[in-house]
Amino acid sequence: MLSDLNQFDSPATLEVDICIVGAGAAGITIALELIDSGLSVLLVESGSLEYEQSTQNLYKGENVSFMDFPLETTRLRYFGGTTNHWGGMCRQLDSYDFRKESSDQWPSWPLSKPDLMPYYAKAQELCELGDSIYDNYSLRADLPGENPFPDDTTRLKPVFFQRSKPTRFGQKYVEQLKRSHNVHVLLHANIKELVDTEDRTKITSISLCSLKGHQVEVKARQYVLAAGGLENPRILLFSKRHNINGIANTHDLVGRSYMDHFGTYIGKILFNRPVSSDAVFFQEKNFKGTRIGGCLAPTEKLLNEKNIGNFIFLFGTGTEPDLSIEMLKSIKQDISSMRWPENLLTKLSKIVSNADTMANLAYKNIFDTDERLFDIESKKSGQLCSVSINMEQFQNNNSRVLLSNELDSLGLPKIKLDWQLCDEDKRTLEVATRELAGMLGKTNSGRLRITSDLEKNNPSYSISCHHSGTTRMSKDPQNGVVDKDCKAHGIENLYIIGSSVFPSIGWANPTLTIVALSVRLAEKLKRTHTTRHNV
Amino acid sequence: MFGSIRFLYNRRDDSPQIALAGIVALVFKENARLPPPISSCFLDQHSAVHTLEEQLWAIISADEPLGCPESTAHHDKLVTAITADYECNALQNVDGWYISETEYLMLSYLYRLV
Repeated sequence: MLSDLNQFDSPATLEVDICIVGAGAAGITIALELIDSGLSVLLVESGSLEYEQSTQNLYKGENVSFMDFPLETTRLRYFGGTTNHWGGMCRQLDSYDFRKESSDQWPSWPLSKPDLMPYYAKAQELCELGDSIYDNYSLRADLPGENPFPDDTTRLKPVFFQRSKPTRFGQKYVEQLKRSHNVHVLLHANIKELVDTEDRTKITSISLCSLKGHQVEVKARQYVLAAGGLENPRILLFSKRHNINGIANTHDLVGRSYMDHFGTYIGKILFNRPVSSDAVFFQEKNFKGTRIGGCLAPTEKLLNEKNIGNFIFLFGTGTEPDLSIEMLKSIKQDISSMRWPENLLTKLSKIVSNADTMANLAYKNIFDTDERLFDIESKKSGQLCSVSINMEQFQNNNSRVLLSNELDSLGLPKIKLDWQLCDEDKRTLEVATRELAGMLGKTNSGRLRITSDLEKNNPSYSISCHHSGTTRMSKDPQNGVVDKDCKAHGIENLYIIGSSVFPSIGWANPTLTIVALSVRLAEKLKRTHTTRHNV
Repeated sequence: MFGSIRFLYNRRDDSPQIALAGIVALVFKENARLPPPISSCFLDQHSAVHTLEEQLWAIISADEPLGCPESTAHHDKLVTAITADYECNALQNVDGWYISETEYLMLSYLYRLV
């Protein structure tokens, strides 16, 4: 069933077995898995079924990171959460990712990949990914024909991801949840406080309110925070009735070690022979009812040898648009029409910033190569492609989510994000780039040219909005916030779910693993808490 | 080893220089190794032609201190040296292009020769 807090006579009280905070991929998955479980479930969502600006504004915050970007644009606050705008790129984490141990302070996952495998199968289904193919795509007989990279896979190897439709969890599963007799979806319900006992070992209630002032207190046997990698720590930090540091924060780890996949445009590969633009590395393929894309990733041997973060190289047909030529043409046209060129400075800056294009033209003139060199987008084959990289970030105590002194419209402290990269992260970029250049050179497959920004060690980074690590999972309470079952250390009835629990993030996009962990948590809740108590 | 280079290099006789230029060009062109479009600025700071030539001869005649074997053998040795550079990460970044140290020497040599 589904209701709206704004329709409630307030103040009201609800009593349920399980209260889930946040209706994104994680919260909706758990609710779906608990349908007909015999447990009464309340799924709490801040927004409505559709986007509303006033609710989205609650995601505004202070960003003091090394990169400036508005926090409210990196996630969505309505039913379905950030799946309402995700790209759908899915892949399981690699076995290596679960074992990755940066230091004594940052141990590896307390889970192994086999522990999660049965749940990945269900996650595959919920994300509408069809058969689980991934790296088995490389077994295709005709792959060598469409692989422009050398067979030597000792250091860099082809890997494959699958693309969800993408599934909008809200739209896809709302009817199923509405029909459910034991799951109650409550919209426009914002968490004001998570209330714990004086000894801080148990959560007693959650205070919810709508932007219009309607209030409800929820008393549940178990609580699940599924509000995302930024909101999960924020809720724990601002709920400080019995401790100034908030809830589940005995070791000052809530909000610490914030991680995201960071990336940058590397430059271009010049292949020594024309390669097909139809290759899976340049454009995703429909294959056995799913969509597959290819990229290059490091082998475990390389990762161990160099002690760098995991990463992928992504390839694109064509290079940056030939703006400089367009700008030159425009200036020429203006001058021939006897008028001063419009926006001359802007046009000139485009020409300068696209100096690479000029270099290619010069190359063509000097070495008398044919047109295939330029681009593999406009033709079926060519010798030049673009390269980008997406990287895993190392755990870093100083990269963190904090509370701002500014308040939102509910009177709660806004988030303050201080995302930081460390020297190891920058080393990943340098080592990875040299490895790609080395692989192309030693097999004489081609050459790599990096951008001038990269050359000057001043890359423009991109963000992935995969907010992770802020309530990390650990075996020992001193190293993390939740245990291997996603239960908060030292609190008997609080679970936290989402990429905030990831101790390390590998290179794969997190949604599939978030959903797999959510299926696993739902199973744990079903197994452990069987009391019937309808809403 | 450098003695053999001096033996091969004779200012009054350009034939060894021409032979070396031919080998370098052969590696770049016939072996389909692709020299990147390098601007002249990086090369301005590099050594004189005879130093580059000595270094290249050192690479291709490392285990043959005397005589001048067939150019195809030289060619093969340069290719091997380039591959080895890439394998052991002996790379130079020139105007954004990653090239091997041997390729860097070869390009420098060709540039100076021209």
